[in-house]
Amino acid sequence: MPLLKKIKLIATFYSNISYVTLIITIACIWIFLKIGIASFAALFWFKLSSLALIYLYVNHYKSREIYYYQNLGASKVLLWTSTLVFDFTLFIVSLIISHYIR
Amino acid sequence: MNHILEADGILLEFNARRILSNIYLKCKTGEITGILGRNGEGKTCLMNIIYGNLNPLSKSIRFDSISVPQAFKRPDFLTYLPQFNFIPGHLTIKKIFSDFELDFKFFETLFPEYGSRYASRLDTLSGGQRRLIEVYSIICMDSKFSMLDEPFSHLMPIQIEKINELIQENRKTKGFLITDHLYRNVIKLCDQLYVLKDGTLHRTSNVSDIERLGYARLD
Repeated sequence: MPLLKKIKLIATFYSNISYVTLIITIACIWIFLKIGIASFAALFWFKLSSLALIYLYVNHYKSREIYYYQNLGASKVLLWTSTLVFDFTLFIVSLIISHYIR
Repeated sequence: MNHILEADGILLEFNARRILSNIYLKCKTGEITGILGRNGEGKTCLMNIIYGNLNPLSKSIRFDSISVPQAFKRPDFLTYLPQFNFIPGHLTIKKIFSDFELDFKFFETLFPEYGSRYASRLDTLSGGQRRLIEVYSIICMDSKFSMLDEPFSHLMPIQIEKINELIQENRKTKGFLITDHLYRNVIKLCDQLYVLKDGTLHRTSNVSDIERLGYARLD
């Protein structure tokens, strides 16, 4: 499968959960800007737990949609790995930028 | 070019209850293979095993004699229409046709009622309209084989006729494996027909076998 098509599929999958994950990331940045580096550990585990909950929710309530992505050549492992890595990287990068802004 | 999909040596048990055993199934390009069976006999399990989403105690799935245990990673070989709605409802018809690389204009000539719905989200359509998009996508998508689990459910008779024509048209380049309880339609379409009973596939040689195997009463 061409790389561009794969990225588009991952983006479609991510768009399904991005509203929730981005709101959580923005909330974490706001808290980080208010409190500072002391809140990092708590925010880190909060973000990680929220991703775990989202993973469980989607796998339970939207498991049927995986067939759409599989029929187009994207496996469940590929979708989740890329989505979670991207979202968590975005979270860490946002915190680093916020740290320098602060 | 002709291709062969084979499934054999399948052994599936749930809590020591044997669901499938001694399965052998062969499907070729240009052929439509039908599977009939009572509810709970394991038709969907068999399709999920072939697709690689269900791991039995043993199995051998081969495409052109090459083992492919996880067929879901190869949509160029095999696509699968599950018996339930599987396309995310938030996607538009435009996006779906783009992802499956299908021509909406051709679809519109077959089903003109969709003409004004190109930009509509799938979850704004009725159950039957939504199912038709899913069935059409899998039948017409470019792959060597397609498995269709209850493709005629929720469809109107006139749509079923058109789907039959589409399957006949697409069989020129691919093989189909179909299961549906609209068995008369399946019988009409198929080149070879199996009945799944007591965990084993029985190949039928004539329609009276279907009655003998206890699936349907034919008049």
